[in-house]
Amino acid sequence: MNSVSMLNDVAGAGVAVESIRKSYGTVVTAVDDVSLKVKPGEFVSILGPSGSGKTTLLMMIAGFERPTSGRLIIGDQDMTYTRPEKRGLGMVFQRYALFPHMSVADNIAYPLKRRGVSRAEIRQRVEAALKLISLDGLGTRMPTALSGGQQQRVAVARALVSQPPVMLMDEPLSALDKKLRDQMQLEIMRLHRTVGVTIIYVTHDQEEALSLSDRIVVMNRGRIEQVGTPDELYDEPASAFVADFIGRTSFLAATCLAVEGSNARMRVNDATEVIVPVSRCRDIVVGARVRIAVRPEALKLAVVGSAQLSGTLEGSRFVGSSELAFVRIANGELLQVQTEPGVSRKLQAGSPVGIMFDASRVSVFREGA
Amino acid sequence: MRLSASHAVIAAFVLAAATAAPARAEETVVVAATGGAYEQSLRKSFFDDFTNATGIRVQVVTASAQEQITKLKAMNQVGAVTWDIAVLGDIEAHSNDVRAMTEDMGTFCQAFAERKDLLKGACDSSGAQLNSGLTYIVWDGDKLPNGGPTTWSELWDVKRFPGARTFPNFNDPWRVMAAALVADGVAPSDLFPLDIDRALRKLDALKPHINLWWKTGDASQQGYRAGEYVAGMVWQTRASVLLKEGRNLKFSLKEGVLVSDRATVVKGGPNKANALKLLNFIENSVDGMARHCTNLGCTPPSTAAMEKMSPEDQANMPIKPEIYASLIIPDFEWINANRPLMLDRWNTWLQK
Amino acid sequence: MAARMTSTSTAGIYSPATALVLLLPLIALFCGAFLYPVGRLLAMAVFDPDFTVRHLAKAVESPLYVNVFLRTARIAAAVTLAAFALGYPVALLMSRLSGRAALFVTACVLVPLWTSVLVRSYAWIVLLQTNGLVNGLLRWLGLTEGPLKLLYTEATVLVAMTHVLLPYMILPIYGALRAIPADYERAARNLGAGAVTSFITVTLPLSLPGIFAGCLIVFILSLGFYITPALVGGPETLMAATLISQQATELLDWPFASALSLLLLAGTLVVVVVFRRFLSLSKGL
Ligand SMILES: Nc1ncnc2c1ncn2[C@@H]1O[C@H](COP(=O)(O)OP(=O)(O)OP(=O)(O)O)[C@@H](O)[C@H]1O
Ligand SMILES: [Mg+2]
Repeated sequence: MNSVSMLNDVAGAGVAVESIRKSYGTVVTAVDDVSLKVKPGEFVSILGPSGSGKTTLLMMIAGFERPTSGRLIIGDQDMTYTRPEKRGLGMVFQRYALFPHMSVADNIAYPLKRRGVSRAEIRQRVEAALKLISLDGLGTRMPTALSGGQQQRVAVARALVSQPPVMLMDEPLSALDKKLRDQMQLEIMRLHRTVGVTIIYVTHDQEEALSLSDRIVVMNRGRIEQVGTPDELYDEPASAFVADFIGRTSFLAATCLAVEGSNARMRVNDATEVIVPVSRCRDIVVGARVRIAVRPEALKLAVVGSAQLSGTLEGSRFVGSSELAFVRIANGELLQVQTEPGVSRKLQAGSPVGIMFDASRVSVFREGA
Repeated sequence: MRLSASHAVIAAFVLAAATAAPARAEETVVVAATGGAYEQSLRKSFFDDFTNATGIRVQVVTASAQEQITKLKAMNQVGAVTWDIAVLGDIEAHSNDVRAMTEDMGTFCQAFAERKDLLKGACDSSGAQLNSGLTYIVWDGDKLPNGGPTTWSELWDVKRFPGARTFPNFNDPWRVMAAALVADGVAPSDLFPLDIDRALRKLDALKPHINLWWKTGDASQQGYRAGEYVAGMVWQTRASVLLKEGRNLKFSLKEGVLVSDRATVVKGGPNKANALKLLNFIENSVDGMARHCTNLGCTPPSTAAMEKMSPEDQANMPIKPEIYASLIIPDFEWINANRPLMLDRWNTWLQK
Repeated sequence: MAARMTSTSTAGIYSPATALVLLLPLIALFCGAFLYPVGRLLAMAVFDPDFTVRHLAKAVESPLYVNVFLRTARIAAAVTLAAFALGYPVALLMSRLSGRAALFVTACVLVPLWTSVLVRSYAWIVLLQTNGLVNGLLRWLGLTEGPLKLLYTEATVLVAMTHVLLPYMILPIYGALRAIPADYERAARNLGAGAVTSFITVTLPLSLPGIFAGCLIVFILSLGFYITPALVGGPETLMAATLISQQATELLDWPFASALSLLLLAGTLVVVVVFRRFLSLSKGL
């Protein structure tokens, strides 16, 4: 593909964020002592709830906000206080920020003009970029005459056309509908693979983060909760917050009774005792109140009596290839249990059910941690 | 803001006139007059006494003479006149436009034919004179300590009396033209018809020295205080304000331009009978006339009134025969007939 | 223009009929209090009582009136330019400030608007008169010997009118600037444009609707300006509004005054149309 070849000869650069902090006044600390190393060519998502500081972190990397303290290194240069236009980064904004008074082609040509690229080369590269995003022939349109998905692609092309080593994206798909979003995710992945650019991608959509990223940074209240691959985050969440935030999770309140070798004995529900491998527990001491996080697929419906827990079926929901049963247990907690299709929906709401769980797939956290 | 002054003014007039509701419980008479000190003096000298004597309330609508005429015209066009009396300049009061909108006061004046104290023309078919005033020469006694210009030809003499000059520019240029002609040697009695070309030629010579063209009486006062001129042509009423402030202002009654204000009854007003009563009261109130002119520094239309004023005030009135003979008296008919021409020539000259 | 970018439209919530009913009072007021009297006034220019172009011809043929109209247009254009040059930076500053500072600057812009034109014009007289503050300062600094003639000149009219009309320039530009999302300038900076380049290539063109609105308002208001030139201008600074008022109130020549108003209005409309055309071109439509 000729159009891609002209974009992919740039190598992605690494980004190192070192103890960066950003405060507004004395009360608000939007980003609190964040450190992060992004490898060249890596696709890293920053994931977190609203107000967790994702945009602020990205703005500091882009140069639109000055860090209160800390350092930022892009490639091998300290760019903590470098002006945004000198950083050479690409950026895609949530609402695209296509210049409404310029045609699509002029929008894409904008960064090239700023770099003094010759007219002939600009024309050639803009055409190549349009082809890359499958919008050939629409160069003379105004941005407002394009659909949301098309605008999105133009914004990506504009950010990439100057071959930046790093591309920043702030919730670039949040304004699109679900189907278009899935399609654009694929395109972004394709671009990332072919172009080789480092991507830092902000989102509050965990599915998006899980399906796109090499690694995910989970942020909460300005701090990093966990950095890891999607598998690590899903299987070994570092905190109850991460466990809750990523994937479906039910929590069981329990007390740690004893640690016996590589197993910990816990009492759930003031009655049932379960054995959990110590490797699944985070800083547990005997006697502590804990929360056991369980994924739906680690739970099974069973016959009452023979099961570890019992409760009442409140309802169930079809989720494609399987079903989710919602079971209220005696202490009032609601558990989500994955079943084969058709199984839970055969049962009447209100029927008593038993629950078995796979102790090797739970995570245990100290209460309040 | 005024997109176009006349649009706004006229639209407002038409509307105001059309919607004003003529609902009155008590007896009133509506008088249109310029506001401020003039209105105050009318109230204290005539209206309050009139209300005490008759129980008729006098309601004053404030409007400059020009606004009065414009509003009258607008009210006449929509057929809803809400005023009874207008107080206008003598010249305007005699114009055809105004005469078409005011009552003929000839019959009213017959009642005063026997009054020896009234000056000639004090009451005529255009209404009753309230006061006369001069537009005359003043100078700054501090800057010209050895005497200043007392005639128009001396005012033109910038070698003998150096310093910036002032003249009025309030769309009524005949006074300035008349003064220029007198300065050029025309006898005050031979002024009309005005030789506009000659007047403007004479003014050409003085134009570079004219620092302030005042548009309002206030501007002439403020200009004096701020030292914008050393000598020039101002209203007597404004000069007397400056004198009362204790300023070393000197003036010359000689060759002054004498113009009076006239109260007249508007055609179609809501309280015509009361209006006539009020004018009758004023004509008979010699004391009121004296008070009015003491307040304003003007000349009353009755010698009896003059005698009731202080000797200083009488000295400031142009009643000595030799002064009176030198005065510039307007020819209403000629001025009214030639207003557009004069204004055109004047505007063109100003912009040369 | 600006609305297109933010695109929060209530279209479709109200039916056209409802909208019309809601608009009726305004339409009635507009027709009764504006269209009708102005229409009658303008009709006077050409019906006296039969159709005639006599009055219009008089206005067009006399060099006096032509000159006054030309001067009026020239002064209005100069005031517009000056107000733009002074007002744009202020609007830009206002759009960038926040909190107390923004409040302060906005107050500085708005408070004069609430002060009467008369007062503001008199303030210039006090400043510029022969023994006024400016002359006093110049003398105190030893820059001049005698007082300079600062008042009653065309330059004074320009200065005072610009001052009086400045808020009308600042506010629309400020509105346009505020409507530009911050992301546009960020995008420009990110794409390699320095602060100045990003202003010239992005912020300035996107604020064009505000610039045109401000210029149009100031220009039109200047065309009909009355009080300020009368107070601070010299006798040679006769402008169209003064001329019209002379005809209407001094000479009571309403047909001719209407003819002059008609010409002023026609000129104003031409300017509006040209501006609108300019604006739609600048939007690339
Ligand atoms: N200019 C500012 N002044 C004060 N506080 C700010 C400012 N910008 C952001 N904040 C605060 O900093 C915190 C982080 O904001 P940020 O925009 O980075 O969150 P976010 O993770 O991007 O959220 P969202 O998902 O809603 O976009 C929030 O509490 C926000 O209110
Ligand atoms: Mg955000």
